[in-house]
Amino acid sequence: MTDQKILIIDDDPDIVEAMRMPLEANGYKVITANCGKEGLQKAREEIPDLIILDVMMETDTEGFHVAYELRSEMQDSEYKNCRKIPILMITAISQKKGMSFSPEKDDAFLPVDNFIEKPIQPKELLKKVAELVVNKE
Amino acid sequence: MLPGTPVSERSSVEEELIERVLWFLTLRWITVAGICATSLIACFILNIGLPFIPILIIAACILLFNFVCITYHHYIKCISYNQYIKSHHRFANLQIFTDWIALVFLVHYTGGIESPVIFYFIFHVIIAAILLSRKACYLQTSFAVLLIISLSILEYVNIIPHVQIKELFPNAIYDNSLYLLSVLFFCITSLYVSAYLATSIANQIRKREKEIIVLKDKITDAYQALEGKDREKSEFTYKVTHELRSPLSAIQSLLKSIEEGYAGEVSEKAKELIIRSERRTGFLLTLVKDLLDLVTGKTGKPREGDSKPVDINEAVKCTLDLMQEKVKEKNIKLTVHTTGKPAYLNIIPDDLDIIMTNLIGNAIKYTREGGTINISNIITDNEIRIDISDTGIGIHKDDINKIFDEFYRSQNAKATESDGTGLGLTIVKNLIKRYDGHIDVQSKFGKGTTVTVSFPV
Repeated sequence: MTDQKILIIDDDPDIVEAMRMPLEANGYKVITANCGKEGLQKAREEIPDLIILDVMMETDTEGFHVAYELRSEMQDSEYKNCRKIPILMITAISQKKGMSFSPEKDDAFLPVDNFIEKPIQPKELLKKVAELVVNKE
Repeated sequence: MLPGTPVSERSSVEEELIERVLWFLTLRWITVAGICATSLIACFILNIGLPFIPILIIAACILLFNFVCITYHHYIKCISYNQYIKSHHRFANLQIFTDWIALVFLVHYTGGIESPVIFYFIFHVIIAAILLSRKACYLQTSFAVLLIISLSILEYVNIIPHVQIKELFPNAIYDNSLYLLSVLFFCITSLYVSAYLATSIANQIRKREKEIIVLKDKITDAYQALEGKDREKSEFTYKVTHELRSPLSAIQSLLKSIEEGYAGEVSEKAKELIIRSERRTGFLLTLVKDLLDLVTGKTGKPREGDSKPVDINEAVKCTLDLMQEKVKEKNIKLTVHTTGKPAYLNIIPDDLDIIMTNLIGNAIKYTREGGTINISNIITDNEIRIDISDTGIGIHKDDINKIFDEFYRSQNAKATESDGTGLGLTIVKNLIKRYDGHIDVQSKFGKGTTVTVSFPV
């Protein structure tokens, strides 16, 4: 039904697997990267339709840096073709929901489009992914 | 800490000496006033023929001396603190020494060995015992005894002319050797006995004081060591729970994918077992989250984020939005009374979120189907208050003091809800304390519970 490409940047292969299964079952093409550097490289090469990005990888904030890099407004940014790719950010529990930061309010602060909490609920994941991919089009 | 102990012990005792010297200086002002007033009353009201002028001169000398003392005190204080402390023993000795001389003059002008002023020597013996060491006190007492003996003998042999106060003693008895001896005997013995009694008590008090100071230091050390240990424990818990979180999340995520059939067909029995496993890992994740909430703050790490004004009405609404499903599921009647205007509380939003989620969550969890929950926000001049009352299972009066203990869950709570870490209220209480707030729980077993949280504004 769809051949949209999703890039998952996460250093935990089991979380990647848990997301890959429902996404592939729903016809998305999944590519993965297990660190920020590899993720940026793949984003530039593949120009996916959506990036799912983990916050904590090698450092506690690696995901934030990747997001800033991808959304950089600099004229000569290596990733200027990636600026429009929606980003779904994975946060751990108690990193935390709702009131403290939300994509609507903190768009400028954190350039991502939505959040999903670990542990991953497949239904929620698919819903959020579908919304972001549709919005893009 | 240990090398510091003798210093603090010493300085505390020394500081007390300084304090007493200052008190001694104040006492001297009162003495001057007393001398003037007494001599005025004696001369002009009782018509006793005192040599008024010499007495006033003595009072003036004491006054002058006290000014010098106070000036010296301030002067030495400005120079160096060490010098200031060291000089105080000498300073106290000098003051008592000078006072004896003034007193002996006063005794001379009010009748020598016949003077009632002679009793006042006892005061300075006691002051010496308080301010000085035992040895110095006895030396000072001996000096006073020497002064009294010298004065009475010199008057007796008429080297110093005796001042006769006729209204008190119409016939002179200073030259009666038996009287002289007996007065001297009783005077001297009372001075030495006073010195003995006063120094004994003063020494005992000083000993106790030193013991208390040492004990205080020991307790402080022990407390700091304990705090350190507690922090270490919290840091360890923080690290461990942090490490537990990722694998648990992964397990939970994978189980969910299997359960929903993304890894191929799952039999009914397998699905049931997976759901059970999920529930157990879910509980572990809650425990991890609670433990993280509990130790954040104990580890000295402030929670990420800054305090900002949060409207409690909004906070209650947000929390209820997330719990709507449960409320509907249990058919709970929910009423919320918000404050008329927004009630802003300066707090880290995550902290308020944790407090609200735990308290409202508990109310929903422990209220039976069809029950009622009332939430009222109240703002007064000095506090913001949130009352959450439910018609739930209540808390037994034996449990009410234990519900804030780590991992404690009451029997009826366990029976109602098997899942629960027993950490929620501990976390809530710690958080509320951090904002100088207060939590109060009133409950009737089987009838319901009211939790009142208040924060100062």
